[in-house]
Amino acid sequence: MSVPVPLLELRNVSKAFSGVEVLHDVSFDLRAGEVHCVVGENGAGKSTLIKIISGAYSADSGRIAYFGRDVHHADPRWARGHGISTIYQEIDLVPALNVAENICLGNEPRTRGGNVDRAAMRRLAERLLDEIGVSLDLDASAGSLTVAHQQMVAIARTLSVNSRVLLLDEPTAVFTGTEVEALFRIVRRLKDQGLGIIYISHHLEEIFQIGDRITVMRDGRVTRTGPVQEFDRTSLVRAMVGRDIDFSRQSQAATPGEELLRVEGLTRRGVFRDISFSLRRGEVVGVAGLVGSGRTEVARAIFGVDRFDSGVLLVRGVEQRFRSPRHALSRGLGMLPENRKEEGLVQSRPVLENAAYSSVQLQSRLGFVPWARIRRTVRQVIEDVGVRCASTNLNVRSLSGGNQQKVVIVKWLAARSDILVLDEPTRGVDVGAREEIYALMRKFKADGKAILMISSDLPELLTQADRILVMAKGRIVGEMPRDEASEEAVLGLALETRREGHRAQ
Amino acid sequence: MPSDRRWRSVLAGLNDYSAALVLICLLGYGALRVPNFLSEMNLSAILYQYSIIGLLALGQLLVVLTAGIDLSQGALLALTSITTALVMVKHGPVLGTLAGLTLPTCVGVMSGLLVSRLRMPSFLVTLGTMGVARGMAMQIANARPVPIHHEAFIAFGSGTFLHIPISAFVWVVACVAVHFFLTRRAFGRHVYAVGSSEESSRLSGVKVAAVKLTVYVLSAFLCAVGGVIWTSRLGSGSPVGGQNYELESIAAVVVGGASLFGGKGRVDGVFAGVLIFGVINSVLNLSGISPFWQGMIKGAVVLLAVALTQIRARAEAQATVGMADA
Repeated sequence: MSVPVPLLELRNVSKAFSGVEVLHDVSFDLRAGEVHCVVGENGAGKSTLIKIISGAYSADSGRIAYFGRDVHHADPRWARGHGISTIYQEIDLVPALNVAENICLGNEPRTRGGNVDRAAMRRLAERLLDEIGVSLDLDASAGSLTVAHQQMVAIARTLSVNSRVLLLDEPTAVFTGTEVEALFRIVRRLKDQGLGIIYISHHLEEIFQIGDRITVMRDGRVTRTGPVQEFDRTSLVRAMVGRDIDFSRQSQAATPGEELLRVEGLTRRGVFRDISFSLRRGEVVGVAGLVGSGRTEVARAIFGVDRFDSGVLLVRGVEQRFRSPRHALSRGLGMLPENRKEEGLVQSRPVLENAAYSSVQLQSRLGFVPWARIRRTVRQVIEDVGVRCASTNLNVRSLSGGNQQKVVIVKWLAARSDILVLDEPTRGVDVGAREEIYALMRKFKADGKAILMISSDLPELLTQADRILVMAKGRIVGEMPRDEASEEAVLGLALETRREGHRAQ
Repeated sequence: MPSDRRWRSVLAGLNDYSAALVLICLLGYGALRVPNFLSEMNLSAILYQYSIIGLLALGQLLVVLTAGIDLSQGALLALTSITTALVMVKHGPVLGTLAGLTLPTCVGVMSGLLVSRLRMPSFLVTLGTMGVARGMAMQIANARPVPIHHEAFIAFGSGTFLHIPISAFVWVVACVAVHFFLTRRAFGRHVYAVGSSEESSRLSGVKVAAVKLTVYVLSAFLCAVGGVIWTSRLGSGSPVGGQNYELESIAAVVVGGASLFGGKGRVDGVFAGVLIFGVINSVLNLSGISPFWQGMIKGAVVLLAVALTQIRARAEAQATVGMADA
């Protein structure tokens, strides 16, 4: 069999930003009708690679060939116009426009008079959605769709420009199992139509399910490329991090101490109701459930961000009703929010300052901020936690996702919080940093802190939590100790109730 | 639950037309409780004044839809007025009008370029061009009004057709044109897209800079049209006219249901918003309420409209959370 001409080929591409080389001598090729997965830790150079292919950056050296012809572009419009489409991690629909308008945005069918031909637009949108096997209300505004549906609209849109190459950057970050399945069906369909697909994901299972070939990147270089059959989980992770990571390692079983937090019958109308559980020293309690099951909302209510209508919240045996996060903080609570970029950190300020925000109040004397002392404590904690940054004066923005997450944790440690609510602590975090966050959690347990961990990652819950609460439709539908929990059992509970809910409607 | 959904869509429909409902209530109040409100003279007076604010508000809507704001409107109106008058005195009404339409539009091009190319905040850019336009108007006029003696030109501004001021027809035609532009032309849809999510629009191949430039130019042009009518009705060019008109146009846009964060707003709402202020103004005048009270009342109306929008948005967000769990 002759080797097919690759759709897209990069030869010895390098790229540096202000003297720091982020891609070194990278070669990569994509064939028609294949799904080529690119994996690597955050900061390995995947995003830069994607951006060079999509035309957002230009390469410093090396060659890029598209359909066998050299291109020297750094022009997203050119790339789009020639069939290289990118679905970004942050989905880029226009919330105010409807589904049909979003699919045709920038490419609207016109009548002879130059007006938007709405009928033709609807037909086109319908045909493209049909092509990927999805049916959606064309008149629904994009802002009202679920993230998964938004993504499908984004994919349909790329087809409106006759894509040959499709780049998917972490497409399933917030998907549930069924949504992932739906996306895979679409990807397979596009593959059969002869598109070349570049697929980036942190979820290794997905890569084994959908990938044809894998390219592994580390520190700006390609460490390995090969058919998916040549890899297994262990060898893939080793290629990514350059060392072995044992995912099956469970945290030590807890020897729980006194009760630090207890909620009884916590209810917020229309959001969650009758939530009761307790959290003890040295214990990690996991909260499982689908997106929208009310997990984050419970955490926010406990931490004083949102109100609750009824129920009791006890911290160290004393009833509390926090008026504000600051109030909760003063009683030893800390929260790592789901969306660290917006809620956890001030991106444009230095690491040191971010880490100190929550403790400034505690340490201030007569309203003055003792920067020298704060710097000492924060530096100490940063070192303990293992935040990797060249200087604590760097802006948080310049840190990788995993390190940003650690800065949020530092913030609460510096404030001496011992009840930590972690909402999706490892979302968007690479394998290496994920392991480090787990290690931190084990250390917190040993230090006698209590952790409430919300996570959509079942293996993570099953290895890290001592007990697992399952939420669905704003209620706790089950609780099980780790020894009795399995992925099937947890997911079954989370989904089963969902179906009943649909019947009830 | 279908009944619940229907209820919700009825509510949404009410929200879409809440400005129109308020307007109807005000008109009803005026007709029943305020003597002389329904007289032809009073209704014409409302239309004369507020069709000009209405033209400005249309331009303001376009800018606000892209999440910007145009503070230069009142100053542009004055610049139009003085340019029209000065050129007309020497070269006649046709050239005068053309000059009056052109110069402010050029200032609009400047604002648009600064906002779209240099990505400067619209608030500061139009604060700057406001100063430039007002200063220019004062300078070329020596801070004095310039009388106009062309009967035909003056007749246009105070003329009526079927007892309705011609300026009102101009306004309505402009409304229809802008509505058509916003709903039917691809470029108009792109105005919503840019205001709703600029980055997404850019990535979709929308010419973001061109869209932004265009809305400032259109806003300036509509100010100029308003300025010509205003000058014609007044019978003289004035460099001090249009003071605070931009605030009235912003207020009308907000009361008409547009979001200052962009991407949301419609011509029919703004149309109602403008008339709401026209009617309030007239009712207060006829009731003999002092201008100071009037200022406070109009301010309160704006605050109330914004507060209601906020509460509504929050309720909607709450409803979506509820639905996800239901």
